[in-house]
Amino acid sequence: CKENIIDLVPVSTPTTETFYKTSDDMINALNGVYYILRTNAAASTEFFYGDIATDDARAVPGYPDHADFDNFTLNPTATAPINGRWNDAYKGISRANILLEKIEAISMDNNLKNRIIGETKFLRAYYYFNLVKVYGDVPLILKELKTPDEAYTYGREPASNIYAQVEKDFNDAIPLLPASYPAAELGRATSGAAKGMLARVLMYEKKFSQAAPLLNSIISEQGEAKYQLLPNYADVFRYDNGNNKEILFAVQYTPNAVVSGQGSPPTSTFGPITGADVPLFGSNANQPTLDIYNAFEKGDLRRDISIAFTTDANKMTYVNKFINKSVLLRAEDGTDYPVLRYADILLMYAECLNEAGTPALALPYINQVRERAFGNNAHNLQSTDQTATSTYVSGQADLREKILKERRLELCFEGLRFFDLLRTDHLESVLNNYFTKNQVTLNGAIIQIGANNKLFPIPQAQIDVNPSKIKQNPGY
Amino acid sequence: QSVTVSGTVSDSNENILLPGVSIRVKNSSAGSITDVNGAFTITAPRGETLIFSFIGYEAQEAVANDNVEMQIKLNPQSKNLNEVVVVGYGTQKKVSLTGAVSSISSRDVKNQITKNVLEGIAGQIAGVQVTASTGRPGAAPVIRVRGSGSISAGNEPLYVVDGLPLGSGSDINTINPNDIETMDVLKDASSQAIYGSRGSNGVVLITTKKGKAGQSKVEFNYYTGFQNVPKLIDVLDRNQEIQYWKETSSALWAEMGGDPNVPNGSRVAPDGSKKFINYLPEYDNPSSLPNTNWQKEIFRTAPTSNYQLSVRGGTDKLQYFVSGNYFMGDGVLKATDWKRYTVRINLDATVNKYFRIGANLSPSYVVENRRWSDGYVDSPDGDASATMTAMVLPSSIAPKTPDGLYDGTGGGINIPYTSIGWAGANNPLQPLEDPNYKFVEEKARITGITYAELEPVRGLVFRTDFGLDRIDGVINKYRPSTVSNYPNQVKTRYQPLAKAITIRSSQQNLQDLTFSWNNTLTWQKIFAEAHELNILAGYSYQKGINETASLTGAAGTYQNDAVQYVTGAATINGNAAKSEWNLLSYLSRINYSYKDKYLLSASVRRDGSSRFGKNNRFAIFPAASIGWRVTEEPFMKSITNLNELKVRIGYGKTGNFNIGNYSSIPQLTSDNYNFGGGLAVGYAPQSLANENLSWETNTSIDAGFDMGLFKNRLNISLDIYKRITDNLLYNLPIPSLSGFTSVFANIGKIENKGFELSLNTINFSGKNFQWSSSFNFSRNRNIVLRLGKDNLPITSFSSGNYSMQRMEVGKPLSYFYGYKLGGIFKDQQDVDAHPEMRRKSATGELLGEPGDSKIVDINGDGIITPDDRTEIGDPNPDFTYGFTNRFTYKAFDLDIQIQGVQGNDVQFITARYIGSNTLVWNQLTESVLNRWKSPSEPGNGIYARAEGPIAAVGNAETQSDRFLRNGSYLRIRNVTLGYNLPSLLTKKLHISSLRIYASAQNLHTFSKYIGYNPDVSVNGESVTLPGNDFATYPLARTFTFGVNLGL
Repeated sequence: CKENIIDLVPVSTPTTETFYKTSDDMINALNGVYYILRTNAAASTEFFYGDIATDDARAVPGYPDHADFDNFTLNPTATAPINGRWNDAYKGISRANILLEKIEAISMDNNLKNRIIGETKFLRAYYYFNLVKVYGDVPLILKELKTPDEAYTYGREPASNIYAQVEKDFNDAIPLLPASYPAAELGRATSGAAKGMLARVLMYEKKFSQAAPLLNSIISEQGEAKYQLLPNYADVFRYDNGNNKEILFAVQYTPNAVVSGQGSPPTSTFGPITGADVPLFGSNANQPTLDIYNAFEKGDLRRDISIAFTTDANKMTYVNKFINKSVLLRAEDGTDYPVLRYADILLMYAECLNEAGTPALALPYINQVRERAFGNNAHNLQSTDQTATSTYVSGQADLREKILKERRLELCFEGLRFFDLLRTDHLESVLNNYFTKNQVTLNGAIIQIGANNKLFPIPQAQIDVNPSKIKQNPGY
Repeated sequence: QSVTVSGTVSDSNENILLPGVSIRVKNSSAGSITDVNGAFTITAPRGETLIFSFIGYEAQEAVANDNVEMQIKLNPQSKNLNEVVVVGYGTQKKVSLTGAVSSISSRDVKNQITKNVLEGIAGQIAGVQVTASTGRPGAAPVIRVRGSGSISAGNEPLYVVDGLPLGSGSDINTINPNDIETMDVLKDASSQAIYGSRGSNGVVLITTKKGKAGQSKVEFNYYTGFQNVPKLIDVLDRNQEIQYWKETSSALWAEMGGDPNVPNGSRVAPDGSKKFINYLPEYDNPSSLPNTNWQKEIFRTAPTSNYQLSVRGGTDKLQYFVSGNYFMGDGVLKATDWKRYTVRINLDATVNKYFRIGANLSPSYVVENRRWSDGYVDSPDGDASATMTAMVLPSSIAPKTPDGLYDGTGGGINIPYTSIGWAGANNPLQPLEDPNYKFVEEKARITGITYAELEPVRGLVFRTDFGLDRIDGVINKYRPSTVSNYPNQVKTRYQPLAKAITIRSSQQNLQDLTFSWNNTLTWQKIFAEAHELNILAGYSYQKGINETASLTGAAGTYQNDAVQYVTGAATINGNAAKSEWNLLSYLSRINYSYKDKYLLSASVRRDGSSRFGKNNRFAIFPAASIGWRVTEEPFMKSITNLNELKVRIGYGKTGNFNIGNYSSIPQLTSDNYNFGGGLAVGYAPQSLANENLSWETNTSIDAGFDMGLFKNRLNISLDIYKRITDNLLYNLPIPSLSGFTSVFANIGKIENKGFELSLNTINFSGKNFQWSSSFNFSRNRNIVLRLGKDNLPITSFSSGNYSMQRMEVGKPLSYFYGYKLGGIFKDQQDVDAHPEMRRKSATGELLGEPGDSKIVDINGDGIITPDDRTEIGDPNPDFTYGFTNRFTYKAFDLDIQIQGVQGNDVQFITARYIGSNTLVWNQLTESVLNRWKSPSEPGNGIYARAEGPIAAVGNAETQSDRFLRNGSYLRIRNVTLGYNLPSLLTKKLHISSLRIYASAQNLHTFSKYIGYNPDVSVNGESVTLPGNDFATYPLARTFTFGVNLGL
């Protein structure tokens, strides 16, 4: 035998040495970055932060991780989603960084190359945004790390630097992305999605004047890429109506029977555990509170679309709006999970106009949403008739509250509530009121949160592995 | 002309008569054997030579003459001077051995009721720990030679069967233990180094039985018996459970400030919920409810039997051993069983003076009917995992409805029904009793090795052998529509399932091929009757090919149960993988002895392996050892009671190449997405590259002595050793901001050191009564010397984060890490007095109230933080031991084997669920009865107050010492009573021997451990998470009756 017989290479898996060579490889690599949307980096745990940790939803018994968010007993060691978000978001960022480095040298169609770069930057920005809004200061890595040693050199960067990078990536992406895609490519990031996400980010930074033109350009978009509210609220989320005209960006799922391994969790995550007329039972994660149920005005069609009760003696609530009542199997659900939709664009734009001191200009936008919610214009907000207390807007401050409430109801269980409260400086007051009013207790005491609860803990495992660079957030 | 001679055979020293001595007529196949009284009769040609031979004695010859009552006296061999031990690529006289090698023969294990070769050696060899990590019928035990030297490259020794090295991770169960003549375990690096990069976890050399010239022998061995579960875990029965629910729901109601006069059923919490504060109305009439012991429902008394028929014999030119074996053992868990069919043919032929050839061939087939057990209530397939489910289900639920349906038709059992609590489990009896449920593992294996030996001049042998080990395995699963699963179960009682949606089927194939080609040249020569030299040089090439494929029917695409196979699905998904490894080696060894007094052995091996990084493909493994037989010195001859004293010392280097194929090459993982409802194939790097990846290197030093006293009636062996593993391979956690949570790297250093003592004694050897003992004791301590970058501790989490185990420099491997609990807050005063033992919520408020657990403020900073976690237990035993006593009285023999482990901690993870005193599952009687109820009924200070669905922070603190238990045990491993039929009778029956016996295996385990048995590990071989018991399949106790018949 010759000694080189011991040089063996993998038979059944590709290696990085043979990959990143063609434009097809780049598309495959990009799909690998999209995949991260489904993980803890985004869809699979967004409701922990956005909904369970608020007055909108409670944890289902038997899941300690859910209870940690519900009760603000977040544990840097044991609360798994805390660990998962960090790991998965950086996994997506690393995949994006590698792609952006490798694609430079590939000779391929320039339009496609630009689009791939645009999509990659869009995703990287989104993953960084999901990190910074949860943990605050986080490490900022923008290149491929080739050895483990390099990873130890990164410490936490100020949140402002992260926001700056997120803005830059979205801004870079906007001109590179198309406004729309052919049917077979639906679900990819569009320029509209990038503008809308950038607007959301800017509003988290209270940069309303910069967000407004972006939102306006989405609203005034014409032709193929024109977004609009669907006439029926329930249709927006329907399992067989994905990527409809209201959706700017959603995490994609397809029933397993259509594409193997692409089945969706929403129905099984949010579906009731028992005692309801649905064929598939779920985990009832994100159990709606009566507080939000009662917050809907009379006649608001969204209430019963969004929230349902089990038919057994417990009358447990569950999130109804994503439920696909036609599936028998978890994997056979293909319901997408919305990230950004047109109703949000309208409400954000209304907010920007209100913050600009022009509440009157804002009303038509919020009213588009309300008109659909009630099925008529009788509940439209107005600034003329003081006697109609439920619709009368007295001024900027009043509208601010009304927009926040409208966002709560329209966008319920879409993972936004916590951060809406946070960015509008309502977090402590609203939640502490809610805890007191509803006697939400832990170990006999009413739960109250403080300033430290504006950030979630850094995973202990990441501190343990690099204690000199990574420090915990205060209070954990 | 023949004569019939008779006489007796006795021991020349003791004058005791020897039964079982074989008498052979020279140049003939005729033979006989002495009876229990040492008497024999044999017919032979007049004047022909008779040869008397007996194990442990020097053979003697005598001439057959007329009418002479012979009195033959056999001389005991002086410490088995010619006893040979198998070492790597050859044999060596035991007296001249300088390494640490332990041997065990078929005699030592013949009474054991064992499915596989490892169970037989449990407790019999110092330094070799064999642990049954689960009682599952087809599971092989975990074996460790001198502790764990590797974290992630595996600690399984290399098995070499008749010169054929088996593939790593190979299933030792397929080898028939009844075929084994001897097993030699190479324990130190000086003996292992000849196996180079495969030697560091020890080498088990298995030698199967061979034919002997002139000795035709037919043997039939049979036993049959039954197995049962020696102990059940004590959980609440119906009345206790009902009382517990009633007390707890009232306590929760009171805690809420509820009016105690509000009747059950009408209590409503401020949030409108009625859960947990009300109990089922049926509880007011307990006797209307069933009282089910679920563990008794799933377990059974299970039969086992074994048939072994063998023929051995031959001529001077050709010797053969042929055997057939059938073993069957039903599992103590219903529906589980394991069967093995094996055949073996061993042939050795002498072609001429210069040339010998031979072949060992053994096809085998094993089939196991499995059911999910061990671990959480839901199996990986989504249906019930039997053992855990049987512990968590309330006793007040009937296994079946009055109509014979499983509770909650379709099997979903809601606990305890829908209106009160929450937690669901499937009925464990469904997979166990449904005739259409399948979980079958089949494995066919052929191991074969052929050799040719050329001896052109006496003492110079060229040997080439080619061996092949082929395993074909298939796992078939089918879950019929009648068995429910999670999450598709309908959890309401009696609500029928939508048919067909629960059907699952899969087929997994495994093909493994290992072949080895060894070429050695051995030269043996004695110079001047003093210098004995044995030189070996060789070349070896080994290759492994592994292919797996699996097919899974897409859920929901089955129509009905008509086809109970993966093809019942309309859509079938599949995947496959293939990997290969090559190992190229050059080896050499020299053994030298001067007058059997001064001994030297040195070896070196160079290995090149495909598994390592480009920059580290080759390595050299040297070893040397020396010995001095002090008793051979003239000045020692005067010490008559010291028959043998050998001191020896050895040093060597070995490697561990079990890191998986291609670990150094960065591969891509596929993560797919979809656009427009169509598949979007995605790829991403799976790992960071590490071109410097290398093997783990073991350096070990061993010093010991072997001593024989009082005419070798007392034999003592003592070894002390130190083994250092460097370049430890581990999936090192790295900052996950790199995109990867870990990287496979050579990161650390571990030390194992200890000592081993073996004593073999003949306590009494009278004419009618003999008593001998063997005792072994081992102590191994491991300690981590270096870890990764900056020596930061590495923490591993068990499933569900229920236990945390750590590797840390200066500490034993994988010690249990967590909070130390300091009892229970007795009352408010106690709570107020110990703010430092209370946790803080994120908002800074102090948690903990009377009845909650106290957490010890380890660092004394007045607050409980993650920094208060500490070392709370050690899964590594302080020492292990075995003690075997053999008694013979006339025709009776009695063996009693005891084995024990001392000083290890076991985490009873099961109790995280059933010992939490929550209203979710059934609970341990111990935790409920000893819980804190009120300041005046504070319980035993270990178990916290009862709570609703989720325990309060301190009480739910899973990573604590609450369920850490001492795993020490002493087990009566085997008791066998046998009776040998006297020769008068056997003669009449025309048989050569007949022995009948009764045996009990695992008769009793003395232990304070709360679970089924303490020597379990839900994580199997895992070094990072050892000592975790999570509803592990219990070890069975076996009673058998058997016969050994010789023809």
